[in-house]
Amino acid sequence: MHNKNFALITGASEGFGKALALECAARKMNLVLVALPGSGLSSLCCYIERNFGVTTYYFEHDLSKKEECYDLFNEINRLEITVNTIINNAGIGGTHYFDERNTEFYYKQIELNVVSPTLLTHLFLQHLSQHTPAYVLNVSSLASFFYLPKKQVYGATKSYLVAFSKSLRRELKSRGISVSVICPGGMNTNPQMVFQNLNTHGLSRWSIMNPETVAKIAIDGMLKKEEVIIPGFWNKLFMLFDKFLPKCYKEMLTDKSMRESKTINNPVIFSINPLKTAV
Amino acid sequence: MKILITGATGYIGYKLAMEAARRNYTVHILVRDLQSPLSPEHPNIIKFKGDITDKVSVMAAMMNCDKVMHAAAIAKLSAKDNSIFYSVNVEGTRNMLDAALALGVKKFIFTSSGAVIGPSGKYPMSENDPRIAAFENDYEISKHWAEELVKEYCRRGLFAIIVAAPRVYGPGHECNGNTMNVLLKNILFMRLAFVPSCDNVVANYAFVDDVVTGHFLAMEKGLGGEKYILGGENLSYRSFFQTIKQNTGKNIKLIRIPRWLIKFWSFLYMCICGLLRKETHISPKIIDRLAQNRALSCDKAIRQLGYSITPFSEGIQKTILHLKNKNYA
Repeated sequence: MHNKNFALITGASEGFGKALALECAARKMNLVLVALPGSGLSSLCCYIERNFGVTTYYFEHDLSKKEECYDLFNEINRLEITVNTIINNAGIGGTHYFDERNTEFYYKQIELNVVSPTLLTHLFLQHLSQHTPAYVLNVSSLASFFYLPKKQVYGATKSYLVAFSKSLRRELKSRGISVSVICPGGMNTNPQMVFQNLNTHGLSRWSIMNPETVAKIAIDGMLKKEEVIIPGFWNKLFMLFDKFLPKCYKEMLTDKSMRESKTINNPVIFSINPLKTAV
Repeated sequence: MKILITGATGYIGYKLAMEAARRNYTVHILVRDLQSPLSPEHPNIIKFKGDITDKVSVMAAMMNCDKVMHAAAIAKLSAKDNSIFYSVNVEGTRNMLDAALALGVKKFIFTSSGAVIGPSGKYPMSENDPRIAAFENDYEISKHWAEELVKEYCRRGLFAIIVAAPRVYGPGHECNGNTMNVLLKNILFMRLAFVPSCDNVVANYAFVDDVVTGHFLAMEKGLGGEKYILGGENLSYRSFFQTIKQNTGKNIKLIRIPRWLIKFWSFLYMCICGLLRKETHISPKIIDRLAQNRALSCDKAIRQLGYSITPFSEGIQKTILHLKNKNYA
């Protein structure tokens, strides 16, 4: 088992992270998966090893706590394996007005979306530079380019990842490490999201993609050392509009889209699993 | 011994009710229409008028029952008004679970669907495997949430078991839950079958009698909070249609058509139905769904419950005989 290269994927238990893990496994990459305790990583790893014949390890950590980022690093070192790919996917999303969540929520969101990818990339830098070609893929969002209401902190954390990736990319290029960032739009990540997406209409519905489709584009882009990966035709078109439409018109559009996008809460999931409402 | 069975006018529920009656249970069934020609008739069966979305009628029907089989659901992939999937499949199940917990029901069997498990990878999927592709439609999500509810009520102390049935075939009602019989009927009637060009795609086909027996096995031997797949053989479309052809005793033409053509046709059909404001169950999305591998493993049910699978050729013979007796061929 020693001296094999591994891809580290955070937030791998559900949605896009799980799709990324399956996509990497299909490309015969060995995996270290990280997610919150009790999120079903053991059965995912079991499935991956049986179906793809790669080696997998999993760790259950809350990466919004910095000590747990260090713990993860130490545990991986103890296994004497090397990480040559880091996919910083774990994050807390959410669409709500600024005063609809308390300060604790935003603090946690910033720690997970901003601090943990920064720490992990720094901690594993030596792994990466000693086992080139190495890759870093940060999972940002289309929301990092469009300053939508109800996405204040989320959008800002995702903008951080774009800036961080673009700058670090220039720094690490000469060391054989490629840094990419992917900015997906709406995705069918979990049942709640699919439910919401099935109830949206028009342009935003057409642009919604399945995580397995986006994961393929993401890993392709990462391996081709692309700087910014925008998956899907509609999302690319949105970016193009953003460049050419006048500012006042864009403001009108985002206002309109926000007025229309009521968050549809399914009464069921919220009453049976209060833990899930955090995301 | 009293048992409440919901969905008794449906494909699986009807058979569950008749089997329970045969096993000398006093069977309560909850039906929306007491005069429904689809409802099972047996001296041991007592009909209660009501609906799983109506808590009061659920309580009345469940009174004094120590066992429950909850098989009622909207079992189709699309509906004009998609909120019925949630009001019936999720909220209806919640009403059932609430009543069961309040009335001290000893065993609660919930009939779920292979659709919750989704497409398969290299090997057939088992109960613990993660879902590997996104949920696709309201039906899948509603059944998933209903399963989550059942698990939640297990944590609250209810003895509940989830059983999951894939594509079910065999003698029985022709209704939404029984697309396989409609397909067979069409093949027998037209003497030809359109085989999609993706004919190596594998899916699981369960014989209805196995699924019914599986429910009772789960009730006798199943462990609380567990899920059991009650499936059948995993077959590619090629062997599926070949087996049907061999068992009809007729010269049936198998016509292979490319997937894009089926998709195009389904798109046109969907448009026409849309114009006529008719409900349709075919769309390009559903065709894509039919082109995914959906193999399942019933090993857990076989090992823990003593579940057994009727070979597909034997099951299909029985089904064809049933259809022939009803003068469809």
